[in-house]
Amino acid sequence: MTIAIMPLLRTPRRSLLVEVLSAHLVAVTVWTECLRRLPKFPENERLPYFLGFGFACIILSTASTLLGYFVIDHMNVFIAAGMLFLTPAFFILSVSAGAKSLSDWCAIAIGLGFQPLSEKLLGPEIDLLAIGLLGGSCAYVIHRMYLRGLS
Amino acid sequence: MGLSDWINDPFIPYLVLIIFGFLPTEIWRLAGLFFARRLSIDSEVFIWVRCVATVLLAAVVTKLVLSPVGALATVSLIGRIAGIISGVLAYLIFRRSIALGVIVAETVLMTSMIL
Repeated sequence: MTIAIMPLLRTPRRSLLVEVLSAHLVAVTVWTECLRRLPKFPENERLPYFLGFGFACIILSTASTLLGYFVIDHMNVFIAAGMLFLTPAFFILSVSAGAKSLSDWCAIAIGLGFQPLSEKLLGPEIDLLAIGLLGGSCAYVIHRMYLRGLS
Repeated sequence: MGLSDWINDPFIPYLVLIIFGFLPTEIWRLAGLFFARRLSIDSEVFIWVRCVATVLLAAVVTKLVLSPVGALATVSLIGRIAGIISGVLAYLIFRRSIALGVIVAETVLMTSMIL
């Protein structure tokens, strides 16, 4: 994820310190939302937006974690289930909203569809790593074959 | 201070938590950063990495829906799947709003808990 977002954050003056700081802000929400939003911005506005968005997410999620720690025991199962469901519901919408090429759509379909098979074959520890590498490579190959077909 | 005093120090569990929570992601973050720094901005590697990360994220969604933990495990499988599908449909049909999609997904999930 860090590697994939880096081309969008590159500035003419490449400061190692700023890049190391940026690498620490990469998490799912920041990653999907910035991959989708940053290409629309002028190049010199991308890094500031990423830093602002990243720090806002960290501050909010840290505060929410603290709040959650105190209220979890008093929360009914109805609300708690709804809260936990926010994660998959937001992830799939955010990553679909950012999909712009055939490779992105293939990657989403492969990940959604083949995770159960991967977990069945390899167990719940390395299933995600395996399907990421294998399925991601498949999506890339399909993307290349499609481009070759066009030219 | 002897070794046993040091091991029994109440702050040690927090120290261990920080080190072992921090180091595994730290190593890969920095490795990824230094690898990316050496690549040209239009390198094909970036497209492949994006594919790998996207598959992984989509797989996480399936995993969270099919093998949920905690309170979400009390909701029926049909309720969880219907929630995700209706959220995506709402997003596609109504003005491509992520917030609206999430609200519809949550509403369908919670309705399935009442039924």
